[in-house]
Amino acid sequence: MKEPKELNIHYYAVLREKAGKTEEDIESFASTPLELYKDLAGKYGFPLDARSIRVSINEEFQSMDTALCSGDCVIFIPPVAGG
Amino acid sequence: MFRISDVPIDADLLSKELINSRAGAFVCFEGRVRNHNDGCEVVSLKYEVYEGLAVKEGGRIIEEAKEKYDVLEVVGVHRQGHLEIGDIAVWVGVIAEHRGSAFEACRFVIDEIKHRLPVWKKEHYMHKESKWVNCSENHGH
Repeated sequence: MKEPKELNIHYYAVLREKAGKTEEDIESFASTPLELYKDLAGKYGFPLDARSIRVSINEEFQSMDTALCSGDCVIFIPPVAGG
Repeated sequence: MFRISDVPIDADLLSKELINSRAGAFVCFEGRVRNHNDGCEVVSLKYEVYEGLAVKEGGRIIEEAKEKYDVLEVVGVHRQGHLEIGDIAVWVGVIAEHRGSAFEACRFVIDEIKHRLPVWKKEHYMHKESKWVNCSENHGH
C-alpha cells in the first residue's frame, strides 16, 4: 500500500500570503512537485498556474517532474523579480 | 562573492573589495528603486528573498562570469526587506585588466541576477493596492 511522504514546505511572496504561513510539515501522496503544487493551489487558492512556477528541493532548483521523497524540503518559486 | 543584505548597500565600501594593482578597469552597476512602474506611482517596495538558494545561485552566476570573461574579481549584493525610493536594490562590481571584459561581465551578472535569483518584489503604490511584481494571475515565466 502506498505510504504518504512527510514533506516540509516553505512559502514565499504571493504564495506565503495566500497560504497564510511561512512553512508547514505535511503528509502527501503527491509523486512530484507538479502534483503537490496542484494540491496546494486547490487548498490555498494560489493565483499562479503551475506552468509559471519553478521548484527548489533541498535548496537546489529541480524539475517539477522530479520524484518527491519523504523528508524533502520543497519550496515553490513564483516568477522572480530581483534587480 | 555574492551576498544578500538586510541593511542599506554601501557602494563605497563594496568598491574597496575590488582593489587590485593589475586592474585597469572597474565597472559597477547600481539598481535603484524608482518612483514609478507601468504607469503607477511607486512609494516604496519590499524585497523578499529565499536567502539560502539566492546566495548559492548568485555565487554560481559570479563563477560563470569569471569563466566566461577575462576579469579579476566580481562582487554582487542584493537587498532584502523594505526599501525607499532611490535606495540601492542591487550592486554589481567587476574589475578587469581592460574595460571591455569588465563591461561585458557586469552586464552578464546583472542580467542573470534578474532572471535567476529567487527574489520577489512587492511594490507599494500611491493610488492603488500593493502588488507582487510578475505574480499576477496567468503570468508566464
